[in-house]
Amino acid sequence: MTVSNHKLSKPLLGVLVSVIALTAFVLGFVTQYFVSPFFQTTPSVSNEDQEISIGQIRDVEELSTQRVIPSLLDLEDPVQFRDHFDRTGTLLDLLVLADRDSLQEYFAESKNITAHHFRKEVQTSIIQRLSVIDPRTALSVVQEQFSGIEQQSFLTTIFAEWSVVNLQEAIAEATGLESEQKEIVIASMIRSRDDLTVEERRDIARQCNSDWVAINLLSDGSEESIFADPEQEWLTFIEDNRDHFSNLSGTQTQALGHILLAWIERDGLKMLDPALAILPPKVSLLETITFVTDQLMDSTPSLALHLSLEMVAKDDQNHGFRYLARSIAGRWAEFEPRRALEATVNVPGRALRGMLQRSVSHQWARLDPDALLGIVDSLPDEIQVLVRQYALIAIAASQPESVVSMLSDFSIRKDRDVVARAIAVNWAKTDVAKLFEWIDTDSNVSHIQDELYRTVFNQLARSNPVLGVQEALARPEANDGEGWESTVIIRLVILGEVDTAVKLLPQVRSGITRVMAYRKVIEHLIDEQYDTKLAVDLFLQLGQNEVTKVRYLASKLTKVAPQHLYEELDNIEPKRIRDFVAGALYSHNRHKGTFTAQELQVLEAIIQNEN
Amino acid sequence: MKTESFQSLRNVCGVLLIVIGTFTFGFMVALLSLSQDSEERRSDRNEFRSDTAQYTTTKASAPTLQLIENQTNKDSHFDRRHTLHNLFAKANSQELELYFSQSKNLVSLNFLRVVQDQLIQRWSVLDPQKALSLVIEEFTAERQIHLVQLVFKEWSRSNLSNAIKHAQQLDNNLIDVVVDSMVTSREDLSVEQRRDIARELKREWRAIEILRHENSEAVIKAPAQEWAAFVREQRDTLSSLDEAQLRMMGYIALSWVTLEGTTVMAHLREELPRTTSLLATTEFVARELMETQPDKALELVVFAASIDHDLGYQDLAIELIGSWAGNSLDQALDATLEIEAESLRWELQKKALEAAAEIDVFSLLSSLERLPEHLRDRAYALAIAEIAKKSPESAAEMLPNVSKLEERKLVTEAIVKRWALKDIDATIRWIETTSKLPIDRNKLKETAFQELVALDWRLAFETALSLPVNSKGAGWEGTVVQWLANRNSDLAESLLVRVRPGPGRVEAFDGIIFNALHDRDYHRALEVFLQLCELEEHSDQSIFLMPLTLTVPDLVLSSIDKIASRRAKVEVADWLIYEYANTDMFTPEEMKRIRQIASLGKE
Repeated sequence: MTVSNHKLSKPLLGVLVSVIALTAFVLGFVTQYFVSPFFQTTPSVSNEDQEISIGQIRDVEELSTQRVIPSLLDLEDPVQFRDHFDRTGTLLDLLVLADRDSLQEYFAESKNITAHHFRKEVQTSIIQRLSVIDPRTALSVVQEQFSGIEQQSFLTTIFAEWSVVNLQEAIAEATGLESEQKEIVIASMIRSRDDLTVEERRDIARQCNSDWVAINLLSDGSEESIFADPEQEWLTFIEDNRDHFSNLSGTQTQALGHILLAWIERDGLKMLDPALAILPPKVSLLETITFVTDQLMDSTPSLALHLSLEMVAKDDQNHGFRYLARSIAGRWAEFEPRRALEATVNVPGRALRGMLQRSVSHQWARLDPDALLGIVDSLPDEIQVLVRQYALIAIAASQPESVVSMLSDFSIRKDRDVVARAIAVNWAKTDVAKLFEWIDTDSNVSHIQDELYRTVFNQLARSNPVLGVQEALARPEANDGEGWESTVIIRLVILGEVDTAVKLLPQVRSGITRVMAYRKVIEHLIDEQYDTKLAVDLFLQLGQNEVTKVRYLASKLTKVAPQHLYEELDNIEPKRIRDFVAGALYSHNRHKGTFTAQELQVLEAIIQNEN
Repeated sequence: MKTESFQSLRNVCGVLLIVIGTFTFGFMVALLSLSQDSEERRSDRNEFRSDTAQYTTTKASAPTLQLIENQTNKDSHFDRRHTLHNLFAKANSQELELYFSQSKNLVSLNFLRVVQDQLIQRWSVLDPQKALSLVIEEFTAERQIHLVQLVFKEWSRSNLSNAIKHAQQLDNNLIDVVVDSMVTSREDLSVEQRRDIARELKREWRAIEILRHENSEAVIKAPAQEWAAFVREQRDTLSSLDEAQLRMMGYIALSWVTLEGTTVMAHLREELPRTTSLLATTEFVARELMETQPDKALELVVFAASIDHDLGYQDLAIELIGSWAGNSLDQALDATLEIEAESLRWELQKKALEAAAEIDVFSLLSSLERLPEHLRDRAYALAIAEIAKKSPESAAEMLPNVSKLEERKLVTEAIVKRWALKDIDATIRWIETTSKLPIDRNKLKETAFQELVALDWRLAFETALSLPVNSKGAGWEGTVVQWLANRNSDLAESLLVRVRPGPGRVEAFDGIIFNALHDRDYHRALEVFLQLCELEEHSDQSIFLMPLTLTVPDLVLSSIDKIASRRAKVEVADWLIYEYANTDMFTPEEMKRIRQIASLGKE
């Protein structure tokens, strides 16, 4: 073997070495790319980078303040800003650097802002910023500068910040406020500290002896119960408030309602007995139960109704629960009328059951009377008549004439009469002529003609008494001989519209009609005794035959208006009435000093003449 | 040999050196390359740091809202607000979209609200239509009401007419708050221009309310002309004015009345259809005037009542005078002396005295001599009635000082009603032992029990049971049950078994039967009546017969054989004959049968 056989040629060696070197280089390069990701903790941005980003934002704040910021009053000029957002940003930039003294100066300056709402925005922001630095000063500023109601929105702002800056200090300050303001600021602090647990937030309120504020706020803001043990909460609440339980405020009652609601949702209605057992004596839970049923109405109206019915049974002293049950049934009927009606079928107590069914039927009929009428026959027998009535009465409200033909659907005449009356009341508002024609001709209502006329004229007295009297005068008298205009007059007096009644009296027909109408007005004037002179004058307007029918009025008038009656003696006709009046004047007043001796002599003379 | 080995070793070492060196070189080159990338990115972020005007964020580098939430959770609300404001101030629409999606993962409700508020407001600057769509699609009704105000706050600034056009398409409840927002937002405009905004959305009255609250210059400067314009524009709907129109009318009337006095209401009356009542407008104006010019408020109502027929004027006047008298009785009463309508004047004076008594009864008592003479007796009586509310015993001692009969009745009733709730036994004793009472003693006892039934029916019932029967032989528990039936007929019915026989029991049944008739439960009324006939065979049930026979004669006839009391049966037949003999209510056969029953009474 020669030496040249064992040695590679130099060029070949060079190529070999180059290849090896290149391969090694590539290997080294590739190795870095594959290995390096395993040593990185975040894919793209490190925490340090994130902090830098927020810091950058804050640096931006710093830097942005280096630009020229207008003065506070300059902010009012809208031309300087593209939009409100921009203007607000500039305001915030201005305030974020301000110290306490500057802020107070800004506040003083803000009073010169003429735009009302912008001024409020500025002052709120100043107070908010000041509350971060020195909440006590912020509070003083607000209390000095604003009145009671105006203070409230600022107090909310102050305590929202204060509760972050120094919660215990804020609580201590809140405790010293008067009760209405205290509740507002407690609510503000609780809202502000949503970083705390439910218990911690309730503790804020407890420290201010106002746990109910937290209960209401937190319960309203949570879909789940905030109470771990509602039964214990109930016990605690009762004990804490036993001495003044009958004077609980609205918000306290509401808090109690939240606790009760949580307990019911957990245990059902069987919790009622133990809950009621520990109440102080003679207290009513009506308000609390009303609140609870309100909460249940949307999701479980049947439970709301059952709760109210349970209370009807358990607290029969408080009649309010019956009306609550009625209200619930009616409200349920607004969106589930059939279910609501079915829920009433087995209610114990016939009167209560009827009350609920009327409420549901009334509501259902309001919603869609035609649809209700269509399904009446499918309802339980005992309520068909009632439901049919309500449906027809509802239809009569807008189309009274269309119900006329359906009157014969009722077997008991009285049930028919109720609907007929509804027809009359409503038809009187639109077409009196057609209404009278119907009353005069329909055999279904012939037995209640007078009753319907009375209904019509009572309605007209309410809505248009002048028309009422006109229409009455155009019709013959009723069966008892009395013209219907007296119905109008009498109704006006009952409604308190005495002055209108007096104005219309001269139109009334003579005879029994006039007697009845005048009698009502005069009696009213005598009873109320504020215009006895008018009473006498009206009495004198009655005709000779008329006045004899109301002689007793003369007797009353001699007691309440003796002087005026005496002066009008010569105008009283017929003579026997005049003599009667003279005798009554004398006997009722001779020892009272009402008349002079001469006047008494005159009366005596008349009496003697009569004898 | 040795030289060759050394040579080989040297060659191998050389190759190894080359391999290691080039490997290392490749590794370092790669490392350097990666470092440069990251340096470039850092350099980009530093651009943002150095010049906020040219700040650009990239998805990869911007902090997320969650991060900001965590990092700022100890900050004040002000600082958080400021941080977010600056974050959004330079964001474009895409970035806002990103932030919006991030916001759904936020934990703190407070932070979320501030984020949403600022984000939507900023978005409204860039693209208000998009912002509005987002608010409607993504938020609850409650939040919409708040956020939509922010949208239109900006929109009204950037493009008012466009904003108004879009506002018109919203639901009514949203339009209300949007109008408020836009009118509030454009404080730079004149009063007239701001009213125009609301007018275009048919809610001009809302602008007027806001402007009045601002205490700016007179909002309605020429009410007479405005009224003429209102009538002209609303001519077709004057007979059925809606809420917005009524409010507008109210504000015009208020300005007009303030300028020219209450008689301007006559102008309103002339222009409006007869069927349109002025009551709502009068009430609105009167309530506005009450605080500073109560005399004018009352004058307005009285005048309006004289030119417009509506039953509500009297109630309104009574309410106003009551409120006024509570503060100044003398002035209130003086104002009533001017009123010509006698009935109204008297009602107002009574109310004024009642209100004064409620506010400060002792002040009223001490000012009796200053009152018009004809009012003194009533004032004194009302004062004692007020004292009776807290101390009926004291009021009872003052009763002898009341001379006029009507006033004595008023005071006596007040004493009994209040005392019954406090001490029913003492009340009964007082009624029985006091001489010269102006009301019948039995009537007063009835009043006492009626009051107590509402509060404590058990006490009322047991107390009544403990008392001897009255002069008519009726136990007072009958009255209690009768009144209880008005509130709880089922309970009343359950007590019937304990009511003593006689007129009292008849009275108790009376309450239940009449309530059943009132409830249109005729079958029940009849059933209870039949039960009464069994229990009170010889009592006079006639008080029921007329209403029953008049109300449901057909039902009564069908049950006539079930009437246990022969007396009652005959009476029923008599009533049916009396009412229906000459009508077609019954068939001839039915009427024959009725007459047969009636003839039993002659046997």
